Amino acid sequence: MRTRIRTGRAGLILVLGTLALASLLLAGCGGERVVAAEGERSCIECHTDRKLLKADLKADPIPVVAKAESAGEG
Amino acid sequence: MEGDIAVFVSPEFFDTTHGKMDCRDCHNGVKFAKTRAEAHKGMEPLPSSTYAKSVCAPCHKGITDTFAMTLHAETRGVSSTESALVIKRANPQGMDAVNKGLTNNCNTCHVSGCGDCHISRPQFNGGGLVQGHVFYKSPNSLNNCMGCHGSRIEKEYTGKGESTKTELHADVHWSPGGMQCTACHTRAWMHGGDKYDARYDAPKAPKCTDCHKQDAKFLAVKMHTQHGTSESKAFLQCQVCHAQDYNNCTSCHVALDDAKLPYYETESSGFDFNIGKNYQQSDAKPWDFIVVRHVPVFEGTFDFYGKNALTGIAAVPTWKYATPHSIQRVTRQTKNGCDSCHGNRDIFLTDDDLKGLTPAEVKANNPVVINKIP
Repeated sequence: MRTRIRTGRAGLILVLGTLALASLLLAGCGGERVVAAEGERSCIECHTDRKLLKADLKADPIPVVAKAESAGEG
Repeated sequence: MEGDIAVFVSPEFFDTTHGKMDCRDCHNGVKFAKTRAEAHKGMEPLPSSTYAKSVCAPCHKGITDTFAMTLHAETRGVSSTESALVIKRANPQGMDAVNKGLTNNCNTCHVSGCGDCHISRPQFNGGGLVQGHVFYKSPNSLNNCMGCHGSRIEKEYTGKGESTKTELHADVHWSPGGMQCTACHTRAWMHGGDKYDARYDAPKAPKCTDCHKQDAKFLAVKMHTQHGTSESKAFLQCQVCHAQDYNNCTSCHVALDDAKLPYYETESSGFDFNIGKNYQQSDAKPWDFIVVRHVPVFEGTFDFYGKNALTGIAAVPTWKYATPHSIQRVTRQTKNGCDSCHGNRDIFLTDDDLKGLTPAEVKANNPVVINKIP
């Protein structure tokens, strides 16, 4: 009898735990990582590191926006 | 501006209100990424460009709603196919050419969002964060305002112009005054709320008398009693005596290059000074004589898009009311007392100044020209 109660309780905890995890996932809390994977950087990590920005822009320059040359003063 | 500085976010930014937000709250993009392209997927670089519909609106609604209607945002007086001032000069049969010019060329000159004044240099001028993405309430005169207002305002205000007739100095309000543009061009005026097509029609536009009251001290100057009040025999706009020479341009052509990119060409420009008759007296402009600047519109401005588009050039003067930002107490109009102006044909707009202009442009300026020199 006691064993049955223990097994039932453990099952209930497992079911409730699974439901809680599922609801968290469905609500989106688990939809976005809070830690970068290897090789990844955040916006702040790049935009606050001048050395990194310089190197990145040197390796991959921003395309120059085409603009016609005007003459005189407008 | 160097590329890395243009996009560098300073540590100070994170101590500010805006710095407490997630970058993506305004810019979208991707939280973690291995490459720039991946990180910038779906990113919005100019999130304030839609004003009332932008990310700024929820907190700054009072400003974003009205700013969208201002001339800085719309430039309608210059570029609108419905209300641009040049339409008064247009040939009704040439409106297609005029509209193409307005849309392709004149319409390129407007701010690209709140950020052009409060975060970065204007996009028109290449952009680039000014203070490491820290937002600033008052635009920086050199980085922001003069980023666009260069050929007239910057040159005149900072003393960069050159005249063959006199030595020019910076406007006294800039040096030694140290006054930034926002000292006169107030927040209320900049952010709008009033609807008008021409900047001089703005009810909150700055006036000299906002600071320089016409009080006993003012009237103690003999020249002010003679020319500085509505009771004066000849009432002069303040700049008639206190502006130094200022920039004038001629013959602006607008066109598209081989890659269909808009450009303009002006034939000439140069610093000079001319007093004209006030051709549009009103309560706001009560003077008898004003300072006039030559604007570069002419019959051929839109020739690239179609000939004879501006057959009505005679409708509006091309020597126009001006407020040069070149103020000094002593100028070539004041340094020799009365004789500085009286009898001095050179400083008045006369028929001599209209030589070489087309008959239509001469006619346009008849209401401005002074041929009987006082």
